[in-house]
Amino acid sequence: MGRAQNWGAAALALLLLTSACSNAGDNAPEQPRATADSGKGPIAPGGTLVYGQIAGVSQLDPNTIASGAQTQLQTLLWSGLTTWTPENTAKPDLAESWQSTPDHRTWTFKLRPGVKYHNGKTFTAAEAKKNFDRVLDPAVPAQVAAKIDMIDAVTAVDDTTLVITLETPNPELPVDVIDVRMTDVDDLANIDRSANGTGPYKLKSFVPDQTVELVRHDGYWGPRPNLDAIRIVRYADATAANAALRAGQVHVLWSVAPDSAAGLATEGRQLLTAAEPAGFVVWELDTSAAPFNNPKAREALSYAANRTEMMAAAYAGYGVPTPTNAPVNPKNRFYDPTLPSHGFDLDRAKRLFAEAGITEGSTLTFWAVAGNYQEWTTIGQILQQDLAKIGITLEIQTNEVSTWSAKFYPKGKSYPNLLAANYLSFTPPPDSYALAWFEGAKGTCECNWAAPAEYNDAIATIESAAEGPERDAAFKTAQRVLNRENPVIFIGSTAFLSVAQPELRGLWVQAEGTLHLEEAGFAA
Amino acid sequence: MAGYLLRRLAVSALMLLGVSVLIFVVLRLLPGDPTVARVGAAQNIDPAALAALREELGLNDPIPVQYWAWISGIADGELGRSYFSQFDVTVLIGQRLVPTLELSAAGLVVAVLLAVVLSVLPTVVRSRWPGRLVGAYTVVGMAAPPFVFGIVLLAIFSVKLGVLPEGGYVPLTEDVAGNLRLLVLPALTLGICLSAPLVRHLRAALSDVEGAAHVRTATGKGIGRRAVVLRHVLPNAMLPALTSLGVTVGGVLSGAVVVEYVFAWQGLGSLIVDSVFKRDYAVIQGTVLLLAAAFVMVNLAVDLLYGVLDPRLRVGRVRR
Repeated sequence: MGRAQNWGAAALALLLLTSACSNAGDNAPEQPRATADSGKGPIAPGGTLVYGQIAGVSQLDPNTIASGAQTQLQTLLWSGLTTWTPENTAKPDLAESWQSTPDHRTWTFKLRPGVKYHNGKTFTAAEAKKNFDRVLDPAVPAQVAAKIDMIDAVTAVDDTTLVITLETPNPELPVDVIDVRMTDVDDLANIDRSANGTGPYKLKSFVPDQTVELVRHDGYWGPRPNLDAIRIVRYADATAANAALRAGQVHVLWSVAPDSAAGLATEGRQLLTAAEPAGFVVWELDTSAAPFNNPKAREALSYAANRTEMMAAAYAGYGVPTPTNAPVNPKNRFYDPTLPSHGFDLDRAKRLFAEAGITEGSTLTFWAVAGNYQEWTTIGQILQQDLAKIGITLEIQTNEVSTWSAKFYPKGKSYPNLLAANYLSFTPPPDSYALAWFEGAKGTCECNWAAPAEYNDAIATIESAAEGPERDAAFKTAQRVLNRENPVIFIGSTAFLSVAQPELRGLWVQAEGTLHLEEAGFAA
Repeated sequence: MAGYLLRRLAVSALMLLGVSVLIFVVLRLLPGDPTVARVGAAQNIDPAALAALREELGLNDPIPVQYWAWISGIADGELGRSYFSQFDVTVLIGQRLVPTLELSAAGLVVAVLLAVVLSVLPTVVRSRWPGRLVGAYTVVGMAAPPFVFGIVLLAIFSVKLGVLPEGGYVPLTEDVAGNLRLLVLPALTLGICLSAPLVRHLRAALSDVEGAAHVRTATGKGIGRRAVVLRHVLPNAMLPALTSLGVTVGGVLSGAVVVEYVFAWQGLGSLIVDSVFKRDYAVIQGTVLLLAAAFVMVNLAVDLLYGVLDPRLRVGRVRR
């Protein structure tokens, strides 16, 4: 056995040596940007883009999407009534135009005529209605339903006119319907074989969790896509994926670990991330169970979090600390910098912990994921060291992903004494969703927080009022309550990092890190 | 012989039944919820939708009812459906079976070649060092898990030297050269791991046969060492090694599981690992049962082969 251990040690040493050697001679790293525009020149038609990621695509139903690994397909295979711009606003997609009544309760969308699904069936307003009805069906696990739950009825007036009436006003409806993707609902049984969208690319083959092959859809109603094909390949781990990128076998690699991003973005490769990151590194707490049912315990935890050091160590400088403890990126115009900063203050944390009954000798549990998201564990280790200075023990437990999520998800689970490390993606304000997630009755935050009326009223205003001072004030109110009550601890804002080869042009990154490949191509 | 065959078949069927119960129960004892995994740990799913999904998947039924539904489905040729994609488990297995069989066959060929060469070499070369090196090889090969060899080979041949691709899979029917290039490292990894116990058994068998009278006679006749080993020792040592080979063949599929995952080889291995992470019960149950059936059938075949080769082992007939 001893001999075997020696061999094992030698093998690992060899591995480390080769890894170290492979980094030798690299040039200075690229700074991240939101658009791949290397050379800013024209794009040549044709070619096959190989897109690599470590997570696999498990299924192809766009409206019950289960993970970020599938998001890049959302705009390639399917269209919505509207779609994203890089400025986080809505632009026409299957709807050519739209208008609302002054009270924002009735919206009329004029749809493009002559659009067909990949299977040849014509897309009409009746088809759009079927998709909306399915998303709003309580039995269908559609994440986007939470964004459009104010819809009262969807009516197909004629083939190209869709009217959506709302129970409560919503001036942001064109943004909120972006993620309702149109697919042939009558043929859902075949969706993993055909995808049946109206997007610029159509499905060629799909092996769950391994590969998705797309080819250009020549019947696409919009501009002809640049690429002939896109091949999405799943790699077993970061080592294999990074090696493939270095060897030029992958053109774009999504969700690169922050600590290896700089090393990969050399030799002209482009490092990409969102202009306004809207992913948040958080610790979820059960605010209905001890000790975090006490607001002082939550506040103490927020002050015990050395956000600056945590984001620097875990995200290699590619994240932004959020000391106001709200899900609003400091770059966002609704961010309120006048709120009290929860700067790292261990003495204050100790005092608050004691007032909440968490005294020296107490133990808390940090609940993270094994194998993935090492960043979360790094952050937990920093907290562990800091809490130890004030006599509190933090046990870090890493679990495989199903065990991790089952502990605190969905809303309603009891998980006392636990800090559930998580990563949340939101659409940036003025969309209401990030803040509405905490709303008492409708919000689905796993924190089980009973939001005060002041907060719920603010959300109701944000969701129903048009741009103006009333709405601006409501955004400030909501952030102020979160800053005071701390139902969730927000450590920092970040977005998935991607690396693209130098010859890639025309792709861009959405707020939470999703890559848009629909207009991508190779440099001419 | 017929009675012996029937008894062995009955025992095999009972073993598979036991395995099916074990897989089924153990999976349901694992923490984690397939419906949560299905929709992702997202922040905006209505718990009612999860409850509806549980009902739809039959997860609210008592475990015996769920088991009966599964096992009776198998009797009808149905292995169930993935909780994630809408593919039948048989379709998913079909997508992955050929790559796994290809890798297993290649790994087995590498293992047998390595085993024969490494076993015979110390017997032919009468020096301490080959024996010691081969001994070290078997210890390391049996002690270290396959992924260690995989990562080391990957680091050397793919990352450092850049002579072989780091992973992936291209069907043989699409690109023969590409397929073979991708096959080299996983087959080598699997072959090394499978060869270690084979080497140990074959060396022991060679040692036993070496002392036999006919070998001494051959040596006494003045036949060269190499010829004695290859013509007289090796053929007679192969029969005892057959048991080891049988176990190796039976276990080759499970060995391939880990290797496939390291090299992103699109086989049953990565299907099982992904399904475990997602708690995709139907896929795990179907795939593990298939692997268990393969193991049982290979061992049954080896036992029957023994029976054919050595009539004394036909226990049933001797007892009658």
